[in-house]
Amino acid sequence: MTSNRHILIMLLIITALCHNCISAGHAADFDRIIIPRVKYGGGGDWYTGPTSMPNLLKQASERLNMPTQTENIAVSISDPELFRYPMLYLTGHGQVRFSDFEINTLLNYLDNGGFLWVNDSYGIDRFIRREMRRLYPDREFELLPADHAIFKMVYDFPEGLPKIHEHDGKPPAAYAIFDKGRMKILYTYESDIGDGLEDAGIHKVDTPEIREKAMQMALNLLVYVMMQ
Amino acid sequence: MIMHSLLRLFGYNLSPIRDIDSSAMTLAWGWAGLILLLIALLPLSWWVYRCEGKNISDKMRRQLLAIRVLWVILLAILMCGPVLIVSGYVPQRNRLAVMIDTSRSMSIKHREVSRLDQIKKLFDGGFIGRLEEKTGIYPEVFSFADNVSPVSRQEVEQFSLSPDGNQTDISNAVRNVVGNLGEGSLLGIIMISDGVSTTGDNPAMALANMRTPVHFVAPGQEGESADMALHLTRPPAQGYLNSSVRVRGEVSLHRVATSSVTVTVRRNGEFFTSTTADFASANEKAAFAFNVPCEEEGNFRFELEIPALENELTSENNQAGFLLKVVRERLNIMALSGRLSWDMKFIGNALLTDPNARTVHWARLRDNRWICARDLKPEAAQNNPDLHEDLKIADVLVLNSADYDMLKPLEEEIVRRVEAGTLGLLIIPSSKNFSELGYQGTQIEKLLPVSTSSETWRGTPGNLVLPSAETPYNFLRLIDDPIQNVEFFATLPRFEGIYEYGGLKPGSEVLVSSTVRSSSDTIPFMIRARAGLGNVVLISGGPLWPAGFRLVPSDRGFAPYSALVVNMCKWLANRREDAQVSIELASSRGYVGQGNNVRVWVMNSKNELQANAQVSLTITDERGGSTSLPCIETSEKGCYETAFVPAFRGLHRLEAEARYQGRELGRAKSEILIEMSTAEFDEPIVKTSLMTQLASDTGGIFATVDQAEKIIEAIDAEPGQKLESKSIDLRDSWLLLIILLALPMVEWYLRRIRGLS
Repeated sequence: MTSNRHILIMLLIITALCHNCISAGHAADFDRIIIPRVKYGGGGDWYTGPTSMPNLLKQASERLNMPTQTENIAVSISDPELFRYPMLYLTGHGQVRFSDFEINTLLNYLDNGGFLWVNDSYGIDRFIRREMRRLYPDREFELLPADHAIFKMVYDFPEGLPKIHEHDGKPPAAYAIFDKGRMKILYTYESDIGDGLEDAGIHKVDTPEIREKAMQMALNLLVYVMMQ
Repeated sequence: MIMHSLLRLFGYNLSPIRDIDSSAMTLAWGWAGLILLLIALLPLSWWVYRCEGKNISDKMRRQLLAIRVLWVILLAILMCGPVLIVSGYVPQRNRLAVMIDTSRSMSIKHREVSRLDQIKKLFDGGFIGRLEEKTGIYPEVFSFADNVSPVSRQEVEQFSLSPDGNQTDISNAVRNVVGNLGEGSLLGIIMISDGVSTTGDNPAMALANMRTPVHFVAPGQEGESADMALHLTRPPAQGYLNSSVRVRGEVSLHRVATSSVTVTVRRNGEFFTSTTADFASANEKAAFAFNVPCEEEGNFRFELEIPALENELTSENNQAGFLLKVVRERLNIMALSGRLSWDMKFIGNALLTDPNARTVHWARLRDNRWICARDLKPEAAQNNPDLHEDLKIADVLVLNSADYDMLKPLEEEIVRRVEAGTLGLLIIPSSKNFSELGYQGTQIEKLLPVSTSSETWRGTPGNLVLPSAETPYNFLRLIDDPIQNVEFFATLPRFEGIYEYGGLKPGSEVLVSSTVRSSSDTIPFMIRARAGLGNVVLISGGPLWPAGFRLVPSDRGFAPYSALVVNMCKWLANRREDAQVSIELASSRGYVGQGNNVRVWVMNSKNELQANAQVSLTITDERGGSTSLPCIETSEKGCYETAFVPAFRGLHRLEAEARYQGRELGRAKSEILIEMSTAEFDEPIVKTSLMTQLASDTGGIFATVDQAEKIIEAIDAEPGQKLESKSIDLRDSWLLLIILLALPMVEWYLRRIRGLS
């Protein structure tokens, strides 16, 4: 009789625990951040460096205690899901072209709190400037000085944007478009931070020190975006 | 009738029964007691009067036996306590009430004759006299509007009534009159009214079960004029500098054919703006709205007006006004984050849509350095910043995953300022519960609106539910139309999960609920608690940023979300003119003749709510006349209350003074705009259908003043009577006592003359 009662109590406890497991998730899952890459038209390789964003998000979680989801996701501007992501990553080596609808949608996204980071892997400059002029005809890219807050948010870069990957021997430069007092687009030119974020061994020339610099700069950018 | 005479012969008091309908006798000991008593008494009687062996005639024997048996039975019955229950009709005094509506709507004129003047004409024509003639009684006359008052015979003859009541409550008036009439047979109530009931219960519901016929006499509507009416919908009371407030209203038409009506707005007597109310075809009501930019601090009196028509039914409903207080609202919001999240980004961006808002966001990194963003301009990370300086000027503190060890150095100041009403607290959902954040057992925990005895994260997506279409909180009214507003909340992007807590603390209030159900009820999404004079809002579900940044299938864009955040923070800021004493008014607008409740909150120099203070309120009207009223302490600590009934329209200045043990604690000032109520003119037509229905429901009839004779004919003038029962103790009769004594004496006499012992 006593053992039957114990079994019954155990069953009740197990049932209750199962119920909790089903109905109650964990709160830490509810606001995880994903940074998708932009799947653009024009023929450029939007898919380059697939490990960059997962690595950045993993480090953001570990170093900054940010809730992140380390996935490599691509989204086109016309996708209604765009508005789920508060920051977009655009990279590649060639032609970038947005449709008129995409321009309008991107404008709406940026006006309502979104952010676009454009990483010049190489050869994107001409096209991205053209598309940005379509996006903000009355704005120009502003060169960020070395003392801008983005270079000292968490890690200090007294000389400004670091050089990560050498292409043409040109100096790295960070350009931004500001609107209503807020940075909406950051364009990292001739630096290729995205390369530095990729897994070790993909780019043999990127030493651990170089890769760490890239990660620190990307984390600075992420914190800046989160705080503005 | 015979029984009535017989009982009176025996001396029983039947009053007030005049006509016996039925009767029944009962015995205190019951019929069984009587039989037992007879069984005992009859042998005893036989033994006492036993046979003496003398010869007497049979006739004499039967006579003696009859007398003896009768006496024994009578005695036995009387011993059993006989009670006669008599039911019969009691005459009732007839009563008849005449109620005259003296509300302001009775001043509306039809062909130059006001409704009340039509009634005067009816009375001058001998209406009351004919009623008296028909019923044999003089009717009791009452006037009603705000209150019910008896009208003397002399006043009726002179008809010295004026239409000055600001509101009409037909249901309450009838109840009052019935209560005032007292005992009697109520032949009916004749209500002379236009049927406009502006307050109280719905007369159709309240009078539906009345047994007394209520007859209605309505003023005639011949030659009824056209009318236009202007109504304001919840006019704003407060605006913030460099922002704007929206004023909404409605214009209604009666017998007017127009496509639009111009509404002229004056500010402090000078032209401010004009707008139009555009009417769709066959529509008698049209809404209008306009913005008031708050560019200057101070109090502003706004008066709205629509043009008056020639021979309009009434021009009193062509104006409306409100008082707007513009305050310098440099809203300082401080946020403390235990980790970076998009929620804070959303809140910060929403707040900066208000040019008066200033934000400072401190976020702690994993290496214990802090990052700050002032007005969303990020700054470099730093070690050990001094947060006190920012907290000192903050009006609202937002906590986002803030661990207790972050708050500990600020805890005392946070609690003190929240309780003093100078800091509002907004807590947004965190990936850690309050236990993990270390709040349990702290002073911060005491400010929370929920019990943290249990905290369960429900990873169930859900939608928001606004509990009421008529929410009292302006910041929850994102869309003008209340129904659309509720729908708008329901269509906001779903949140991904929500905390379920051990319960709400006493005094907490659910501002926004959710569609996620717990075992017993839906889980609240936004909960408010009052901590001292301050407000705390807890959002238990999230994340919030999808609602802010993700486009919803709506053409409304993001503005409503921003408005929600900004206005909630302004409400949380809870600015007061005086930290020690503050005046709380239900509305910044009141009406002549109607009571206004004023609450005064009092704190001592330690910013603790003060009991047993002496609080007085001085009210000064525009003419300079002032009244001083004592405030009575309420059951809420530190809260004192009084009420005043303004006699004049215009701006009234209120000044509260609080003293404790002879020492002044502080003063507070406020203002209230008193207007003439236009409720009586909102719908100026005579409510014929309502009165016809009420008359029909109660067994009365409806007639216009010209047909008032129909009512006199319909009144039943029969003398009133009612069935009553009365208990009569049959032992209470001298005649019966005499019979009881006489019977043995008669027997004794008969025995003596026959030579018996």
